[in-house]
Amino acid sequence: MASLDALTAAHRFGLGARFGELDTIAPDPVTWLNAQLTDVSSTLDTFGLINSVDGIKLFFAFIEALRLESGASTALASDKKQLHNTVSHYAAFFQSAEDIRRMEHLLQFSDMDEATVIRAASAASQPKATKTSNDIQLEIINALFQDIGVRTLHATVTPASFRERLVRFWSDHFSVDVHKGLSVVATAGAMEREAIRPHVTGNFFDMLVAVESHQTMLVYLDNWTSFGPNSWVGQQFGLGLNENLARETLELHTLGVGGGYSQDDIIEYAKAITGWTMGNPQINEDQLGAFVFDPLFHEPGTRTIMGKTYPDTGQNQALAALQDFVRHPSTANHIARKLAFHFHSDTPPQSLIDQLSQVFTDTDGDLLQVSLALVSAPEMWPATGGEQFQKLRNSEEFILATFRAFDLKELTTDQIFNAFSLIGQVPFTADSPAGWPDDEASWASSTIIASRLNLSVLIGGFIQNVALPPDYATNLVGPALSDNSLQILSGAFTKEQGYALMLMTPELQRR
Amino acid sequence: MTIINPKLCLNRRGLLKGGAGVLGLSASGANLSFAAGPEGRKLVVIILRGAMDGLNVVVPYNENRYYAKRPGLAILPPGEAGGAIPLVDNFGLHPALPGLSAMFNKGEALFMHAASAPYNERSHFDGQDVLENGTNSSLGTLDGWLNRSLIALNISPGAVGVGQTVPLVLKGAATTTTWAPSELPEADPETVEETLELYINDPALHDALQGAVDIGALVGDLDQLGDGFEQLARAAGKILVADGGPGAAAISFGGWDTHADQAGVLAANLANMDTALLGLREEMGAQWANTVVVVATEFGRTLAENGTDGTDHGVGGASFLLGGAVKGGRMVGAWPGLSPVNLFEGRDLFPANDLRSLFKGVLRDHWGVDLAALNTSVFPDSAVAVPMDGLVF
Repeated sequence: MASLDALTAAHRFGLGARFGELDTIAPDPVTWLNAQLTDVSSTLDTFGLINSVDGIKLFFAFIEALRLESGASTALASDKKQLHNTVSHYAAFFQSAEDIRRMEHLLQFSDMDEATVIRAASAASQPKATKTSNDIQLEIINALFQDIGVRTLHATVTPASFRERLVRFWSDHFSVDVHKGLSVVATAGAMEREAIRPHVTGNFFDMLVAVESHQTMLVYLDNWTSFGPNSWVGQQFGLGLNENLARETLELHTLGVGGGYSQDDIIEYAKAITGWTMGNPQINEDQLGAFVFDPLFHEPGTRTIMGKTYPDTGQNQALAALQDFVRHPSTANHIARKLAFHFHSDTPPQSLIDQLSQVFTDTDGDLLQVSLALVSAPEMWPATGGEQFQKLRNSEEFILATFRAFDLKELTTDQIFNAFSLIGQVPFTADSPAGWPDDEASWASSTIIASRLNLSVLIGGFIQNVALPPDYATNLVGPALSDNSLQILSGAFTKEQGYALMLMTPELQRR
Repeated sequence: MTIINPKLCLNRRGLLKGGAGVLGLSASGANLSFAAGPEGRKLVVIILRGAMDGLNVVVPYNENRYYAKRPGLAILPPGEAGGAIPLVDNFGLHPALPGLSAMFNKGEALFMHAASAPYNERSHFDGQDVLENGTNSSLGTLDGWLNRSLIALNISPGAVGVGQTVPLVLKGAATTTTWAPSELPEADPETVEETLELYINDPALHDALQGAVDIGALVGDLDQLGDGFEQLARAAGKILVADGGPGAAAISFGGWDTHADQAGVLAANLANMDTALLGLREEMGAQWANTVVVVATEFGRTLAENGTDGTDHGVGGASFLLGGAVKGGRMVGAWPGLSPVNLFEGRDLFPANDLRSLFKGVLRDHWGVDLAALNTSVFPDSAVAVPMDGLVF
């Protein structure tokens, strides 16, 4: 019989136990967890996935194809030959930005039959003489489906499920929503792979900079077209700031609500980060799709943010501010609280928050040390006060726990996508920059629990050739399986019903 | 070890809608316990996502520039083949809306043209946020004005979000419930009962599942409710009129983003909406007399048709109120006209009428929401948007 501690490691820290996994963990659960933090060998197989530069290139190709097809305006390719000076280069850039805003709507998930799209997308991605905008759109959507499929199957089979939980935690901390437009569709998965994964046990500052300078975030929160009012572009075209990225950087990514900044600080930081944009076909085609700092967008001058002045060092002005945000005590507290809320419960003990916050501060945001501190916190373990199963799994976690429990590694990309879609939590679609809700009230809704039951029944009906439901459940949650649950699973009318009920037990709905 | 049957089909459209499951049809008694709305007054908010083309829905058939700018798309004047259904003040209704026209003629519907939330750009993403969060910024709040209006009342009448996702307008701290037609085959009654048994010591999960059973019983057999928009509208009606049913419902419906081949797409969508609104009216029965339905979209579309037989994102849109409690049969708000100088940025119908004034008029006079709360908590910093008088009985 596996120990309660093994259960904690697999379910509270990890993504749920695979069949037989508790026995592997039981000898030393803490070492099992800590090894995942220092050993990065369980990596994602990114074969066939596109990087963010190629994603953005595809997106610009989509815009270009659309312009050609509409005939409403001359294609940029021919425009460009006639561009002689910087002003017209930038004017073309704004036209293209306007086109993007106009065209972004073209993605409407709700109207799509996903399987059809996936099939069409595979066909569309084949080499062709001339791709239509529709071909490219499908190729872009396919890229998202592939990313979701790969990250899900990896989470299904990985022995390092704590590390994957951390990836999802940080990815959600820097949430993006593909409904913003096709450019985010094309790169949302890439942002997680490029800006989140490499830093999950690295330094928070490095992750923060990687995200804030990532094409996906620059588009999602509009900074790529935010202009200093006194910059060259601002003066020439009468354009101004967009505060979205600055506001969310302070409110969500670093200090947190009430973290000690004012509206004026948001505006000052928004000015500091003007110029963080990406290469586009009009201005800097040689860096197409890559992050660039454009000094002609950048608001000149010294900025004052939360009482500290930052001289105009161009791109480094915002970097210096970000460094100070990371070192602000509000950030340590904000991150610590979110971690405790996510991994412990909706009412985490203050002692746990304080400890995590202290380690974050002492190590200057070393996420390896913070994660190790989470593992070593007595509040997280049953023998020392960490009562388990207080936290309701969100729907993605429920699906991953299910896939892991039954080793569903043969699912196709559209089956995976549809499973998420049917229970209402498709990755990269949280409708707020704050990410998915992380509280019980949000997930224990009638619609959500009913859809989990319906999905469980569907999956339970197809499970064959494994141990009987009570034995299977005992293997997955071992000593925590309640007498009530065991009795009901033992009394199931059919094996199929038993597996469905197993997935719905409080012990698997919670962690 | 585990073998997954290759036929496992998680295909949204491929799923068989099998026999009536307990979550759609149940013998158990419904057990909702909302306060039903001030004096039983019901409010339904319908968000049309994608920016409905107000100019082809409420047709300004007396404006020459309407026909000049939309040579291929304009709806002809009343009396011509396929022409608009006459309303008043030289406006007509799209011919795919006979039901709405009948309500208008009974005095149960009114229209506001040139309407906009305080958002004058043209992103769906931001426009819907502003429409629903009730502030003047897409980042203003993470909850919606309908939810905050529930809090502003001493006793919240409760609300139900109908559809796969809860609209932002309904999100927030006030308790609400949800219902969506399952896209999965539904669990059989015995399995639901056993699952409820699993939760004897887990009240949160028990209440959530019991709530699904109860509300499923109210909605009844989905096959009787039509499809799509009509299904959602009829379900909302059934839930609202149930004993202990909530005071409000929110529904959203997409498909209005008609950049290409607009004529057929819009006509089909409007016909769906017409059927849905008639269905809602029927389900509300006698309570229709106490009901206000607000229909709004994030913005309008360009005056001129584009090169792909459609229209692009514009600013001023059209909004409707309907219900037995509405003083209908008329147009409300200002009409800025379509002359070039009166257009917004030379291309869109000018947003002459603030949607918040419409919403606030309804909330104040239908539900009795306090004006101070409307100006601060429900629609923050909105004193400039004065509630419209006399919208409802």
